[in-house]
Amino acid sequence: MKDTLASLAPRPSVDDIMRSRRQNRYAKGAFYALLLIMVAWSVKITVIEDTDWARIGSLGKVIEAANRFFGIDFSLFPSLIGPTIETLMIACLGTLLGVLLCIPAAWFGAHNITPYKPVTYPLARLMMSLSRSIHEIVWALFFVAAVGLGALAGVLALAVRSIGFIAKMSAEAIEDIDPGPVEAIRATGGNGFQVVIYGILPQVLPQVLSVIVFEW
Amino acid sequence: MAILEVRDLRARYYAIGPDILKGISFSVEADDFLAIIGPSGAGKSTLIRCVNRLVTPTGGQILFYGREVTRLHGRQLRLLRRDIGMIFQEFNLIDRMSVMDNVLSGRLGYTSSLRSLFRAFPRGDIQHALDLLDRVGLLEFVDKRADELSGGQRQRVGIARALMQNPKLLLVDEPTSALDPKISREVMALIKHMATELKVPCLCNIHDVQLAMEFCNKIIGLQDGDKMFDGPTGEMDQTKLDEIYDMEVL
Repeated sequence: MKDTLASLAPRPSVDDIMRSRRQNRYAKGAFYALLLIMVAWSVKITVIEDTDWARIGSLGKVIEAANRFFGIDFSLFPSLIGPTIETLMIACLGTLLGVLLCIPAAWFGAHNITPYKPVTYPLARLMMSLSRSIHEIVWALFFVAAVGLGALAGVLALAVRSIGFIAKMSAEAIEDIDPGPVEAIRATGGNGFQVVIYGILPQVLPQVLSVIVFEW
Repeated sequence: MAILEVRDLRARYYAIGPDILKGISFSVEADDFLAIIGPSGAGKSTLIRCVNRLVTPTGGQILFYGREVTRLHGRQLRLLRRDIGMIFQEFNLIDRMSVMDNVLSGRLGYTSSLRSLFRAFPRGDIQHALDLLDRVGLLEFVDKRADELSGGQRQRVGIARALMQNPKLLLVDEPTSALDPKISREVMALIKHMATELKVPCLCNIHDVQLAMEFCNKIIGLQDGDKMFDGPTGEMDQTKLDEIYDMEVL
């Protein structure tokens, strides 16, 4: 039976295969050439024409400018300890708040578990993109305007910025899980929450933790 | 009285897709160990998944203890599933959890969300899980992670998890196809032994005809969504087997 099936399909000739492989090579060559032209064009427009070359000056001036970074003034250290600790606390609180905000975002943004796909999935994806495409300094400016200068603005800025990364990576980890355990938990009569805690969370936890630590 | 009665069951996965089940009827009695045999793609997995509604049938009726279950949803559906244990081909254990937690997850249908979040199962459940692990011969693996076990041991955990539910029916989906022949026989014997002792009827997909003949009292033969045979194991013979398995080739 297998033989009959195989003989129904026309047998490709060596010339056909050679021709299609050649076409493939040309297409690839054209693609890379186009890519190279685009890169060269971008460099010309943005770097070559848009840079104030006179300001950079000679190589000697560059070395001199770099030198000014050295010669560390240790007497300033004591006054830096407080702000350093504060920065660390802002980072911790910001990431923690970000992680909490990520839970609904990752849940809505994973296409295999999102509650109502036509609405919740695009909504979550939009939030993630928005959060990532605005730089944390800009987020901080927003929050300074909203809550005033201080650590709270920093915490909120970091949290909002974290959503983009942590939720996106977590959502993608959720989309990659093995559906078997999920099916097994549903078969025991577990509710939706239990399916997430037992079927999904253990599978994605290592990945999610590494993203959180990375973002922190 | 029949525990499970299936009437003219139809299923397909996509609205315009092919029919996977084309009107299947059969029943399961209280002391049955019923095998569903047939070639790959015949609809065996779809059929048993319709019973606990992991797949929603497109037509027909399923009566479980006389109660129509094809339209259940929400809480009622979870209560149905909690009464039906399931054993899977690929075991479907939660790899990063301990053997004990895997077995206890069989109780989730009886456990509140808050308790299950902290894995705070009642003492009685832990005792029950220990007893079952003892019965399936895994007592010394209680604290091991599920992914440290061999295939045969993993399936034993799967059996214990299904029995943890105190099921009124066991669905068994190709329990042995990921195992070698010797372990396969042991696993089938274990399922049969436990089912007999706990008086739980079984509905078992299996493509190993020999195992089906050896362990099951009734056989249903499926082919391409149609029922080709339904009767006691004694009535199955080579001609009928050839009929069930041959036709798949054009």
